[in-house]
Amino acid sequence: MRLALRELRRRRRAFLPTTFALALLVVLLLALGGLLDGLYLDSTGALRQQDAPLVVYSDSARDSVIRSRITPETRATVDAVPGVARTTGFGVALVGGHVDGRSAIADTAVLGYEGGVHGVPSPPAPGRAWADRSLKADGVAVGTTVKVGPTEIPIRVVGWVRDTNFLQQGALWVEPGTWREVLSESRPGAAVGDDTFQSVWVTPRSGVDPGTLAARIDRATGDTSTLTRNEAVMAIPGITEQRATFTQIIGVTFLVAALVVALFFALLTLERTPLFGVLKAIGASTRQLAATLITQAVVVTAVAYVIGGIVGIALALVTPPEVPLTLTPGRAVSVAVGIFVAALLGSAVSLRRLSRIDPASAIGTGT
Amino acid sequence: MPALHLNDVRKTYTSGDSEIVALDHASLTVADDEILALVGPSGSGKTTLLSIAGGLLSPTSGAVEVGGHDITDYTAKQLTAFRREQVGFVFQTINLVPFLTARENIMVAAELSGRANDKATRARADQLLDELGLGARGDNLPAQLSGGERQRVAIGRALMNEPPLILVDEPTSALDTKLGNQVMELIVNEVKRRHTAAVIVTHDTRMIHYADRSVEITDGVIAA
Amino acid sequence: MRSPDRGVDAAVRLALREIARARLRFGLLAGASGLLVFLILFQSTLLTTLLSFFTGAIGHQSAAVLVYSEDARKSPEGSVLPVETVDAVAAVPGVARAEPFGVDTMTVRAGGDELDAAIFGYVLGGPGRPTDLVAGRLPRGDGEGVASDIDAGRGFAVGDVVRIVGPDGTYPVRIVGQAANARFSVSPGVFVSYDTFEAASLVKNPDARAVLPSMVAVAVDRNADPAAVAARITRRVDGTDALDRTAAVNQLPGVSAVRMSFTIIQGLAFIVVTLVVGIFFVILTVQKAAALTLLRAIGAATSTLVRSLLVQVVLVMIGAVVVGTALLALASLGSSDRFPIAVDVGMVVSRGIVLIVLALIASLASVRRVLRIDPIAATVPAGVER
Repeated sequence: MRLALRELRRRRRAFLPTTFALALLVVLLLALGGLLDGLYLDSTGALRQQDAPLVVYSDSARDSVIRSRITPETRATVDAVPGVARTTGFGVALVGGHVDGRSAIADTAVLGYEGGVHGVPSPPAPGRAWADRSLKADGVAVGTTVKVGPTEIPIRVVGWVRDTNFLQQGALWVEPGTWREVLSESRPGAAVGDDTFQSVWVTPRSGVDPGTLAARIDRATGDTSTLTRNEAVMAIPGITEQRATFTQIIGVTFLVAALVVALFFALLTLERTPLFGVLKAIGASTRQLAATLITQAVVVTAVAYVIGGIVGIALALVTPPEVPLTLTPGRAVSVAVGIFVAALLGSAVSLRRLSRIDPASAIGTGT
Repeated sequence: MPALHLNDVRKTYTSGDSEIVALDHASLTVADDEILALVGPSGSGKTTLLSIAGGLLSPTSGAVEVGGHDITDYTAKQLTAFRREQVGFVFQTINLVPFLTARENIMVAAELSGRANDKATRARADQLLDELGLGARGDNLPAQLSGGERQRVAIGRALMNEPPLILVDEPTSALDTKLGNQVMELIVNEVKRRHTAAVIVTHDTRMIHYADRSVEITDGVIAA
Repeated sequence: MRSPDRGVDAAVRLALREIARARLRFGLLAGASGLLVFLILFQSTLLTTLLSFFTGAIGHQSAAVLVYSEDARKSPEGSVLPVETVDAVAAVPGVARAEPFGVDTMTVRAGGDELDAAIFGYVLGGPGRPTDLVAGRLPRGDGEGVASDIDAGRGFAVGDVVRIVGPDGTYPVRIVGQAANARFSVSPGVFVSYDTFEAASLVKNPDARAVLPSMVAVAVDRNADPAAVAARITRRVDGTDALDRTAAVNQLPGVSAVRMSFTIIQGLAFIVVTLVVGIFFVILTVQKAAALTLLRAIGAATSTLVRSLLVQVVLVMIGAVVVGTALLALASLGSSDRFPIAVDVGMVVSRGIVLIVLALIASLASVRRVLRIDPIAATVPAGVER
């Protein structure tokens, strides 16, 4: 162990290239993961933050919030289903918002709700909204009036909420009447009758299993499709494909990282073959040398992770807000675990070579 | 025309405030078919002298002529070309390119001179291998040769371009008496056969008699 | 004495001989670099496919300019224009023809399943028709449609009838043709006549007060610059935001985030691959310092050694591109209908060239090391650490 650390300290330059290359791979992995997480979080906030575990869409909408319609009659049926504690209505209108002093139109999602959203206070007065922090980048501040839709319906921001966006558009949480007005003015083909919502979120009574309740609701109404919150999130257009794509890319990157590490450590071992020969000649066992190798692999990886992490964080801070890069603790951990596994596997490849070094070769002549 | 002519050559290095004199007013002349033994203890400046004669170092003052060429003020590029054509070097260590066979190591000198990889060059290389007793080892890599065999390949490489001057640094320091004698005989034979001059640096007194003349050097000064 | 190309000869020969004698080392190097190249090619392929799922239909329809409503923020589905706009656009100089263009995502019953599909309505014979027809024909009348070819197996094949679902009934569309790159928002795309689009919209939402065109599809005069025409339309017609086709694709909402991610990932990957390869070569150069010193001492010109190194970099990178492409071909065996992976020769060649150039730049670190070799070091006696 001590030999391993002493060599690292005294012959730092030999290990620098490997450390540097590994750090670069860490940055790449963090960026990939960060972009995937960013895209995901920014598209799904409005649904993820709902308190209720179940949501009811109309059958024909195929799990799309925007196309779904829940009439007051259907809602009444849902309310009456045994096991349902309460329901809250929810609707989305994707519109552009003018902000005074800004020429670019902000992408906003006007969300009509009745409460029951984590982190979002109860619905404000008509014409007022809780705005998602991401809209700060578009020049919105508390007190700003955003004019949404083609008829520029004014909505005044009364406070901030965070992580509540939908399809990467800045959320404006409003009371249902305001939402219906925005929807009918901006998308006349999608207008919704009074008291109709696009979906209702269902809170079960305590002790009731959400899965069973979902089936019961659909049976009772005959024309609805009730999903869990997670299913609803995954049904948002593009989410599953994005995850599949990025996850495959991340998987391949980990694999490549392992193999690259293997190569570097193989080269390092090759370089030190004479040294290992001498050590074996003076009595070091293969196991001791293996411990040296593994120790060095661990230290090099740890240093690389720290360097890569710092660069990754710097990158996240420097990227403009349009770029959906979000570093979550979970991602940082998974990259750490992955890179250590890769490094250990990679260095293990050199162990075979270690065992084959012949101590007698130490007593050779130089070139 | 002498093979080597050093005229009042000085080589100094500055270290901090002090000046280290590696060679102090060294003058030396080697005739064009003479074998000279340069004898001195470790640190005497003999390696420095050899390096200057071989165009690896430039003197601080004085003049250096090899085979009629005044190389005193040669640029680095000119010295590189000079080392290719006018001098054959046999070093104490690191003598062979590890990824070239014995034959290829000998021919690399010709290749670097732009001489085509043609039959004539190959024939010369093979002839050298035979003369050096390495006829069967032409396709072996240095790792597959013994210390003595590697030494002989290095000598062959030094002779390949038929330079007027061969410089040999401690050829027998790692060898026992019998092998040492073999190597010295080889050097002498080859050098004499080609009417080339040679300067052999050594501190091995057993080998001095192989040379036509010997000169002592101590503390950077050549004994009169 | 020495001719310049003979020096190159020696350099090439040295380079090749070293590779031949250290096949394992260079093989590992080419292999590891090949994996990194595969990473870039794989990423590129997947991300291009993903993007095409989002934007294909808009990028591969015939209108050179698309006119959105001003507040649509470049989103086809968020765009709606009054009918009068079509005529106003048609009057703008540079516009050869302007027709209404409808875009909406609807629930569709196909292949026994209900799923989302993006329905595009264009005036038959006018701008907005799909450009990459691969099977069948374009619609000749109402009730006919051209669907994205990837989705043929899901009930969108030629001859299939898909039904647009609404609360009170369905509207049938017979598929008469297939187009490549015709998906939109990751859903199957179906191109129909504008009248079909209107009828389907009313079935989808009987409550609707009116069915207005989402956009205006514009064909420009021959020799006219679409971007200039688009700018002119935006200026002259109130309430419009016109874009040429490329700009429209690039600025589709949500997509720009994916595209930006794409660019960042590819950029980072290129940097990482280049630097890692550069580092490999530095290690190798350091490991053979002794041989290089010897060669310099016996008269090898620095330029010869540098050329030798560069030859090796190019050869290793070519090997890496070959390995990377082979791995991509292997990965394409695992491609499915839902996620096709194919080897795009053009992309491989262009990425390959960029990588070789970048690798040469990265090898400058090794070149510097070679330049710093002092031949005098060959005289250093044994016992001193190299």
